[in-house]
Amino acid sequence: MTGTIVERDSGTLLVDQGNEHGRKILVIPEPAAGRIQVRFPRLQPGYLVDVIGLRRPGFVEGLIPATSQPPYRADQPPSPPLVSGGIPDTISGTATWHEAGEEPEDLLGLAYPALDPETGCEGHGLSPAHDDLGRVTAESGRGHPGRHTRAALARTSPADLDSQYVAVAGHGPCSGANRADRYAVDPHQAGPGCVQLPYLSLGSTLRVHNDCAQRARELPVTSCGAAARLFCDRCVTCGTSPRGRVADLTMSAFVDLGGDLERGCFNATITIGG
Amino acid sequence: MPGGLPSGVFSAIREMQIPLLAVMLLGGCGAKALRVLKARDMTVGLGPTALFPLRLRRPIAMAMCATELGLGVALIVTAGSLGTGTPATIVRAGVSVLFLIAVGALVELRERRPDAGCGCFGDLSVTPVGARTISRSAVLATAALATIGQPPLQMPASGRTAALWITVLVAELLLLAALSPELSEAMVRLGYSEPCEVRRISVDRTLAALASSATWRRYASLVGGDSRDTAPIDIWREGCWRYLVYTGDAEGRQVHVAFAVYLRSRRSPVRVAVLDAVSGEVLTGAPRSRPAPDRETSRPAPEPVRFRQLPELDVTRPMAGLGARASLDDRGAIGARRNPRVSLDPSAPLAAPARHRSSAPF
Repeated sequence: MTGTIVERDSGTLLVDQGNEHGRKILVIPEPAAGRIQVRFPRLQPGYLVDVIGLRRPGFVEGLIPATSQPPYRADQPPSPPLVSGGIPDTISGTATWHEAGEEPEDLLGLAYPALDPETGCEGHGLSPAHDDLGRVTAESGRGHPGRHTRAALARTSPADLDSQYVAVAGHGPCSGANRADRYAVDPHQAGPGCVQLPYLSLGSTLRVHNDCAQRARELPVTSCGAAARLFCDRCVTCGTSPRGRVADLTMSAFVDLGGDLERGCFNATITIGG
Repeated sequence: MPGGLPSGVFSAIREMQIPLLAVMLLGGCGAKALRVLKARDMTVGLGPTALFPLRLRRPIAMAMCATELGLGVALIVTAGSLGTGTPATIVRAGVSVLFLIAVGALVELRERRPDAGCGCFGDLSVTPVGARTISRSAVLATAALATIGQPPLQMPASGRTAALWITVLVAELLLLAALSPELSEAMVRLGYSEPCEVRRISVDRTLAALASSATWRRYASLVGGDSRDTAPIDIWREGCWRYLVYTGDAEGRQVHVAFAVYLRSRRSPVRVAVLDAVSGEVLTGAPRSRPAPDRETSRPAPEPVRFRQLPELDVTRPMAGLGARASLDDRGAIGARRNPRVSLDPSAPLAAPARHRSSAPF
């Protein structure tokens, strides 16, 4: 589970994972608390958390830390250095993995941290498309297609947008989460993160190279990984990677590339365009 | 005049402090306000506010900015004969206290948040707090203390005095510049040009650029006219290029017309590809309803490397019905791998006609 802690009650944390994944309860049992707190010393609202655990009914039981906690608050990630000229096609950093969620379990893809802001990544920018009955439409293979079009925009009223994202994020007036809202961080407002990535869209192809296992694969962008921009961390699976998360792989893709799920990350190099 | 010069220098130093401090305070407040306006959040990056609990950051940030503004204005108002006496002393003492507090806060910030900038000048103060930043606050605190009890400011009595004042001012500015990490940050920003890959350009601007392009006018008949009336069925972005796909009709055949628009402020290059909507076959070529003028193939075609943002295509293939090599026009549609039905067949025979009807606006 990866996100920003927005509320804490002893060993129970409410973690905001962004608009796509909403908020989830993370329970850290006493035996695992020591191990997690070694690498996540600030389990306080406003700070980031990234742990691996077991999904239980209504909550996730955190068992081991996935990475180390960045020292800054989630709303204050460092900025990337200003570099003039184009962004290199090859960028190194950390690749992590995420649960399938609503995606197929065997999906080989990745959540990309820098989706075009115009594509409605995690509720930012444009709204998703709705059909005539007000249902959110989807198109095979693209995840969110149709949401980018003017026609889709025209079909979607602001009221639809508000209600949808309120519902998804669990921020509704009845959710009792208003108190936690002030700690929730919109990654789009927090800056580009510490690694500058070119804007891409769902369906774009990247070549992801596991620098530790020396395995590479072309993978499509299958979801929005804006929350990864908040993590300005390094992976030390084999040597020390440059700062910043460059890809948040699906579980299948992570394993396919030789990643160890329990380690949580591998040093990766991505090539834009494959 | 032995001993006259040092006393003149000291007098000049005292005379220069009030305008200098006022400028620093107002500049700091303005830079912070600018950053807040850009981020639309009162609590962003205001240095020492990071030491406080989240709920206190907003009021503290507001109070800090208001204090700087108030003291800056008050310094100017009481610099002359208007505020002689107690008002001027109170204001100058207030400025001294402010900078002394700043020194303490910066020392504390460096201890507790070594990664945080001081936020003194908004966006520019992102360098972690170091000895230079703390020294600058100490210098300003000393300068503020030196102004207490100073008589109202007056114009220099002679040219020599004016020259001395200017010399002192320049020297102090150089000292402050040497103690300001913001200066190097400002120089970097002055020379910085945001790469197009991370530039935020709205879809509306892309549509406007497309609508004003010659490429659009050439293909407008295929997609049914005005871009403002016709909605693309898909839009996506790959780095510096944004792609827009329209459905259209060419001689009774359903087609997809894919435009690639380079994302820059003005005169965006536009590329185009026409694909069969059913088979995905690339039909690059000008529509018969509005034929494009023939062009000599001997004209130099653009090197792919000039468009490094477009995915490389090393494979050549025949243009449907025309037998010419595929141009950059259709790279956008295929290179982005959006249409898996498009097959690249390197074994297909390539004709080498002297002329073709490429629509590329090269």
